Amino acid sequence: MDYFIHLAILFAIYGILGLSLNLVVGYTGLLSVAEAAFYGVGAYVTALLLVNAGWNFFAAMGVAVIASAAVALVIGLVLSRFGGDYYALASLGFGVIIYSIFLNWQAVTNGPLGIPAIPRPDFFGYVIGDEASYLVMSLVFLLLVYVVSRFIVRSSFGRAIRAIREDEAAIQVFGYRAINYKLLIFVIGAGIAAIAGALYASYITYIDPSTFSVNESIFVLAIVILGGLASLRGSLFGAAFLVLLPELLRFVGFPDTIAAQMRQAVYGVLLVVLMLYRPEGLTGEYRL
Amino acid sequence: MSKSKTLWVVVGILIVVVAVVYVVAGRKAAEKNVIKIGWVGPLTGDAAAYGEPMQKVTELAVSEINAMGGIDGKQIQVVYEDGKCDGLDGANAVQKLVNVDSVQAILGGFCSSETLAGVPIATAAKVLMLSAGASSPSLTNISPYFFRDYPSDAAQGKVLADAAWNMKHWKEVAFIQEQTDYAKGVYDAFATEFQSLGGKVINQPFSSNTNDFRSILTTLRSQHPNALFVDVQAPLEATRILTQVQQLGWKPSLLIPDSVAGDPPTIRENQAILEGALTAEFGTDPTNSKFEHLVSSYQAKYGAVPSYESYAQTFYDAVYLLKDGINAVGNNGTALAQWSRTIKDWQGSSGSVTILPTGDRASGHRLEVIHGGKAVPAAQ
Repeated sequence: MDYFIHLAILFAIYGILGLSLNLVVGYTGLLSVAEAAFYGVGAYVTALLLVNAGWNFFAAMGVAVIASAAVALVIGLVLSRFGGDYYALASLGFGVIIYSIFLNWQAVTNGPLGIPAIPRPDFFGYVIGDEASYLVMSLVFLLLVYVVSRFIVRSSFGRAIRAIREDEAAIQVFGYRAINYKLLIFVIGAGIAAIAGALYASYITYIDPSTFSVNESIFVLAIVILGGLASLRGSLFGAAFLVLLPELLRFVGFPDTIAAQMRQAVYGVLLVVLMLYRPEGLTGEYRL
Repeated sequence: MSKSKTLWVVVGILIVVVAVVYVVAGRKAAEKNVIKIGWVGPLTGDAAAYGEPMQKVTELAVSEINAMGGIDGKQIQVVYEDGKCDGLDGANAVQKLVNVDSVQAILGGFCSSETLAGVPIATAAKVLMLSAGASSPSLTNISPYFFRDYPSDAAQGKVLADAAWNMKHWKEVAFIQEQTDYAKGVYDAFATEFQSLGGKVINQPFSSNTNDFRSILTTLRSQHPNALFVDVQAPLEATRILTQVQQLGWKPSLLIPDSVAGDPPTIRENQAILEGALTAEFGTDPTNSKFEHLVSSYQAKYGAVPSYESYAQTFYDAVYLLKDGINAVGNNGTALAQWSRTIKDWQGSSGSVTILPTGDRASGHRLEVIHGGKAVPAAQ
């Protein structure tokens, strides 16, 4: 049973990441490949505050969200000047820079050895130590993020970012400063990603830079595209699908010597097939 | 709406399929007369270069044991899971092994990251984890359910301190230490041991991007230590420091860590100044008959010598350790965990294995001397 709960917790974490990135990629049409950077900032800030300063988890998560949003603000000031393919490349560059900082700022991040023994959250004296209560907490955060995201995309702000997606020049003619909208949604997305990072750090109790490499950004991007661009429900489907599928492939029963490799290959083939037949994703409105 | 309903159905079916497989997999384990052991290591990704040969070594040891009748007549079956040298995948793999396969013992992870993420899960489920490759000092004393037959990076500091005091009769050793966890770990272990023996250690740490060491070296030299320990993370920095030592006209006795000694080009390049320097590596002993057996049977089975011999020997030994443990106390995580702390002078292909109360291997680093541009075993 714990195995299911474990997968459900991962679903919640990746669901949050998917929602966060969908705001940027799906609704605003900015192809960001820097998601893992903010996920990582959230995880590292939370872990450091918990381990070194003995903070409360929820306070640490709050600081992590602010820190991640602040980093996104600095990066976004540059990034928002780009559009289209250039945006993707520049965000990739920033993702790599943040990853290198995790890896090389040894005095703070402990470099490639990572940070072990991160404590579980303490909710007014009640330690959320077992998997089941951690799942409940994660789902509460997922729900919160879902509600907030829904509010954002249905507000006038949400209509403005969708308009940027359709035609950035046109919306500027109407007097909107597109660059400010792009920056703000990027910062919001980063803040939400930090929530997922905090949940991850405290759940796995160990983080190292390899978890926050560019591969992870692409994985979250796959959740968004597979689930459907500009569809919040789609991000949840995408997360459920991409978290469950590789685990399911553990049970296919390949011979031991090639099981791990086959698992990766079949996973890849399934994704390719899915994109061939449903390029707009499971529930999406648009194609990329 | 109907589209998303279909999707919920699809997700529901996925969950049901996983559940059915889960139950079936559980039944199968109960039916068969086998002992399941979990295995976690990098089978895909960059580190698969290590994981694949280690999987082969494990297979070799298991097939040998099963050919001899297994454990109490039960055959060993290893469930291999890919940890990808990554915390998340390591946690997934351990979680699956613990909950779905209901193993009582897990061999792994190979990397410190997989292991650090997996140990809390195994501990909560009272399952033993035995690593044959993770060397991070963070794993020392992490859990009563964890031990390793690969020594901690910190272990070499102790070996060198003993040699400096007992063999060389040095009273004072100077450190030039890089500020990294590896180098710090070596220093901490050396200083603790050397001071408890009665020696004195002076240390000048420097940050990783330093290029000019002259002022540090001059300070250290003015205190007339018996020897200088060049404690760095990467061989390149050792070369830089050694060059500047020579430029100062200083000819101290030297100690170097295995990060430098394990890099033959650096040793050759600096062979003049390093002649007679002490170091400690976790190497292999070709004269050990069990190690010979490992190499020859691996060659017979796979047609090539095992790669990464120092890991191959600990993996091979880990399987046999588990076999002896299950023989002694049964296939039970808690009993195995208690048994692991009683392992003393167990003879394997990697030499004599003793497990400390912290879960670390007591020895393993062998004292070596640099001679003629090569690290050779020291004559005691």
